[in-house]
Amino acid sequence: MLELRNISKVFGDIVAVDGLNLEVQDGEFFVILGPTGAGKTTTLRIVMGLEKPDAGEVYYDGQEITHVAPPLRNFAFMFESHNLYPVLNVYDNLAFPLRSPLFRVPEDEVRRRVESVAKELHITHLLKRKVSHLSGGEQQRVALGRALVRKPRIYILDEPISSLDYKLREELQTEFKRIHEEYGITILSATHDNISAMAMASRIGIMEHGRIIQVGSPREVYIDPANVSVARIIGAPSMNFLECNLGDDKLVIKDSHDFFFRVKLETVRLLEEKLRGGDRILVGIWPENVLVSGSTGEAWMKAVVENVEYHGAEKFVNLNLGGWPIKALLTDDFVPKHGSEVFVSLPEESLYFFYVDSGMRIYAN
Amino acid sequence: MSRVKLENLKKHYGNVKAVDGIDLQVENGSFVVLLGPSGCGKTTTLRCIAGLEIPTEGKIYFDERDVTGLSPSERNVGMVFQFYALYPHMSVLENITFPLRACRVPPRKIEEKVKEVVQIFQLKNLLKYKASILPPGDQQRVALARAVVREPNVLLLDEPLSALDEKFREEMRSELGKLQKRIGITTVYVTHDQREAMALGDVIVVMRDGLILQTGSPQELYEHPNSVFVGNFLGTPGMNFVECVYEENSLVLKGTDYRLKLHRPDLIDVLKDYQSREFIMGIRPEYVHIDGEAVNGGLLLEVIAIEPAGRYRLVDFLVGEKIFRVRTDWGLSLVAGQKVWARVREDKVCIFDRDNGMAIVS
Repeated sequence: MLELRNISKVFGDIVAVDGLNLEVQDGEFFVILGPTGAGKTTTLRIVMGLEKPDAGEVYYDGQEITHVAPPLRNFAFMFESHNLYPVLNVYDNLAFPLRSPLFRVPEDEVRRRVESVAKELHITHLLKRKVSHLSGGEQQRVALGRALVRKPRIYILDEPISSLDYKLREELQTEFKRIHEEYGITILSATHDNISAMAMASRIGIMEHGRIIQVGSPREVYIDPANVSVARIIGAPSMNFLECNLGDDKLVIKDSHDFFFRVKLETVRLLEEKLRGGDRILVGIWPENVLVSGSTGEAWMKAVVENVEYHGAEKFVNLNLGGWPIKALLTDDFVPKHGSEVFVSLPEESLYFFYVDSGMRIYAN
Repeated sequence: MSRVKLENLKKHYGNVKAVDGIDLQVENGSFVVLLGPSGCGKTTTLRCIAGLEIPTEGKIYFDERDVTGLSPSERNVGMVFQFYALYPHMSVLENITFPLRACRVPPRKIEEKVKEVVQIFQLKNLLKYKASILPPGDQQRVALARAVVREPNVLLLDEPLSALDEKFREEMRSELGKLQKRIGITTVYVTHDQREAMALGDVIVVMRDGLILQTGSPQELYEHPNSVFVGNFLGTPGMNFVECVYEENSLVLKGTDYRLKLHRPDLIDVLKDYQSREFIMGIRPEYVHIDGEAVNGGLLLEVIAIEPAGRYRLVDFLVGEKIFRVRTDWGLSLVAGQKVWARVREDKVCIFDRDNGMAIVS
C-alpha cells in the first residue's frame, strides 16, 4: 500500500500541494482527477521521489520512503510526453529499463519479457521500427510497454492519454483498464479528463488547490458529491446549479422573476434547520434528471431552448430558465427547436443542496 | 452572411493530395463541421475558404460571387484558431476594435458595434484588461468577438477549443453553440473531436484522405453511417463490428456459434446475395440490451470489464476475439466474469461490406 501523509510542497509563492493525504491499495487503479494547476503532477513527482516534499511523509508498505532515491523505489513513471528514445527501435526502448545496471537482467530474460509485453500490447510487428517513425498512439503503447516490462511495484501515469486523438484515447482507456485487470497491477494516475478517469478508475481522488477533496469509486462520487467543486469536475456534462431562496413549500430561483419549484415540507424544515442567518442555497441537479416537455404540468417552469447538442444516444438541451443557464439531457425522440419554449420540472428526489459560500452539501440525501 | 459553395476543390502539395476534389454547400446561417483524423484535409479546406491557400483546382463561391482568386481581406471572413492569437499587450477593447480601426470604420460606428458584441459575448467587465492576463475561456470569447465584430460573411474556426482543459472545453462548446444560434452566422468548424462535431454541427462533413466520405446531420450520420469508418469514428464509443456470414435467415457471428435470427425483410433481401460470403454487422452500444436471465434470441456473454460514465456504464464483452461494448444503466448489478444475456436490436443493425468497409444496409 502506498500512503501519503500530510504532504505539502511550495514553489515560491505557489502552494502546489497543501496537506494532502492519500492511500492507494495494492491492485487498485487510483486516479487523481482535477483541473490544471490542482497539484496533480507535483503529487506524482513526490511519489516518484523526483520532488522532496516540504512537509509530510511517503510510505510504501508501512516503510517510510520520503527520502529514498527514485530508482530504489521501483515505481515506473509514464509522463504525458513519453520520453522514448527516438533513435532506438521499439525493441531497444522496451529493453532499456531492464538493461539498467541497477537490475542486471540477463539478455535472454530481457528478450522473453520484451516479447511477451509486445505481444500483449499488439506491437510485436513494430519491434524493429524506430520510435520516431511511429504514430502517436503507437508511441503511447511503447511507452506503456516500457513501464510494464519492469514489473515495478506501482505504475505512475501522468496524463497518460490526454494528448491523443479522442478515438485513440477511448481505445487506450479500455486497454489500460484491461491491462490493469489482467496483470493485477497497482496504478496511480493523474488526469484532467473526467471521462477517462471515471471509466478507468477503481477509485477516484478529486483534487483542487493542492488538496484531495473527495475519494470514492466513480459511482460513489457521482451519486454523492461532497461539494460543488466535485460535482463540477466529475460530470460530463457538469451538474446544473441554481441559487434559490426558501419559501413555505417551494424554492424560488434567485433573480428569476418568481420562477419556483415545489419541495416537500420536510425538505423545507430540514433546510431551515441547517441554515444560519445569511446562508444561501445552491440547488444542484444532474442534467439527466431535469425533465423537459412540450406541454406544462403542475408547477412546471417555462424555459427557452438556446440550442440542442446531439450526442448520439442522447441529446443535451441548453435552456434559459429564468435567466439561469441549465442543461437537460434527453433520450427520447422529443427534440425541441432552438428559440422555442418548453416546460421544465426539477424532481425533488434528484436535487442536491449546497451552501453558496462554502460549496459544501447542506445535508446528505 | 453568405452561403459558401465549394466546387471540385483540390489542393495538392507536390505529390501530396491534401484535398482531392470536394464539393460542398454550406447554407446561409448554418453550422457545418469538417470532421476527420489528422491529415484528412479538413484544415487545408478551411484555409482555402479563408483565402490563405490558393486551390490547385476548383472554385469557391460566397453566394453567387466567385472568390477563388480573392485575398483573405477581400473575402471578409472571421477566423479563430486553436491559439487565439490575440494581441497580448492590447486590452480586450483594443483587441476587439482592431479589425474595425484597421478598416477605418468611423468611431461612432465602432462604438455601436462594440456595444453589440460586448453584450452578446458578455465582455463588459473584461474590456480594460490586457488580453494576456485573461484565463483561456475569456480569451476565447474575446477571439470570437473580434472575429465577428466586422460582420464577416463566414466565420471559420479551426480547433478553437483544443487547447483547453477537458471540463472547460465542454463548457465552451455549449457557449459556442448558443452564440452561433444567437447571431446566426454561417460557420465552418474544423475538428477531430467527434463529440464536438455532433454537439455543434447542423451538418457534419466526414473527411478522409482529402475526400468527403459522408455528409449529413449528426443524427443521420450516427444512425446511418455509410461506412465502417464513419460508424466507428462517430459515437463514444463507436459502433461495434462483428464479422458474420448469412445462413438460413440468420446472421452467424464469426468465431462463435451465435446465430441472430433475422426478421427485417430489407436485411434478408440484401443478404440473400451474400450467402456464405463474410460481411460485417454493425450495432451501436446502446442498441444492445443485457439481461440477467435467458432471453429469446439472446447471446450468452461474459463481462470482461465495466467502465462507469456517471449516469450510465459501458460493459465490455468478447465476441470472437473482439471487444463488444454495451451501454447500459445501473439497474442490473454486474461484475467482471459474470455471464449475461445480450440481445441485439434488429431494427438498428447495419450491414457493411467486409472488403471495402462501405455500408450495404444502414
